[in-house]
Amino acid sequence: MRPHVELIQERDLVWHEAELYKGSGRARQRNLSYDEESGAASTRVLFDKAWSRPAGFHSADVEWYILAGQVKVGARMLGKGCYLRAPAGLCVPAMEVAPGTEVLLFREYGDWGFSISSKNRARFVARGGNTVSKEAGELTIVDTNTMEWLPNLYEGDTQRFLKLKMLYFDPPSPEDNNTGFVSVLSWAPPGWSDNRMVHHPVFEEAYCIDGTMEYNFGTTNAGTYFFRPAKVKHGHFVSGAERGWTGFFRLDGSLINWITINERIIAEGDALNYDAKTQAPVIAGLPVRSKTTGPWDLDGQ
Amino acid sequence: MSENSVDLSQIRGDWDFHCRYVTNAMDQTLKRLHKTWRALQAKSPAAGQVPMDGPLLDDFLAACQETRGLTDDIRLMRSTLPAKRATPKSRRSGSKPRRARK
Repeated sequence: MRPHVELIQERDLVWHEAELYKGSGRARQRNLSYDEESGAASTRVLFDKAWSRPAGFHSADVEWYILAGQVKVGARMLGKGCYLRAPAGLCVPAMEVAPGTEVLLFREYGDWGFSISSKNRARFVARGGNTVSKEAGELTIVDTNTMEWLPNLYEGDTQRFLKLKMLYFDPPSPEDNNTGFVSVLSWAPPGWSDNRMVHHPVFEEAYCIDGTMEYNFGTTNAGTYFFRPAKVKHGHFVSGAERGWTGFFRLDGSLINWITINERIIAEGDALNYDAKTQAPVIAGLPVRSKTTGPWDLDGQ
Repeated sequence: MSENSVDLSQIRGDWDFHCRYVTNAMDQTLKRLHKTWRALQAKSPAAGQVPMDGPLLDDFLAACQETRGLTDDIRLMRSTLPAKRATPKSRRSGSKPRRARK
């Protein structure tokens, strides 16, 4: 159960002590989205001091996207724009993080648990908590700086001009679209637009790294974030004129665009003891917002 | 993941609309590319060199990659170029345009 968060500016949020168990050093996190049932979370972590942790495995599928600084995983040094993913139970080499490093840290299908170990949790480790694959899970490390922007083949033709860098792709079952997992960088080039309203059968989550985009939930720019549960409509996109918009996306299945046009909502009722124009109730289910993004103007409701 | 052939009619707008979008996106990205390159040259640490580190270089490299990505869209527009409209008979080469009656 993750609430619908759309749209917040990360800078508006309070800091918590980082949930990086069995590690040494000082780090703090801002909770962008938190599942109080499973312990899954999307956080931005700032390492105030050098941090390190021995090899071991997580309770959750864990992803790191480095916004700034340096992270050493085993013998490999990762910098800004690098991505790391380990499924739950897979042994991750020892890690060291330089002071001042900033990362987006996501965990899914589990909580913050971490066990120091030189081996995997079990003989077979699955690819992820939502996988249908029979292949063993593995450590994924990607340097997005060396990847090309590819046409948006993933969504078919309807948003063809978006660009992607695929970081992790676990394909869904042919029988069930809501299986598998996708983590991807997306760039909407300058002036990219889509005037329709769209919804998907899967959750969609994104953190804006660069640029701006106007859409029905407001203005998304660097540091803004949303977690959108499945089937929530969104759209009316226009990306920034100079740099476009770049964000880190996660999806718990295959993205299908279901399109709505001529959208409208009709709420009917007779006000007994209030002014229907100035004191009308708001609709239930308003998304979480923060002070910078302000109230939603209800576009696309 | 997706079909091989591209059907732009699934997006709003006609070929000219998409072509204007692609041209503008390339134009804006090239402007950024040249702007950051000039800024790097202005910060030259030694004759004939630009700084090989820092956020400005990162931005330049990002703009180069984005420019390359947009060339795919130019190729897409070329491959979906609509057939030229038939030229009216009177304008075909070899025949003079008919004079308007006074």
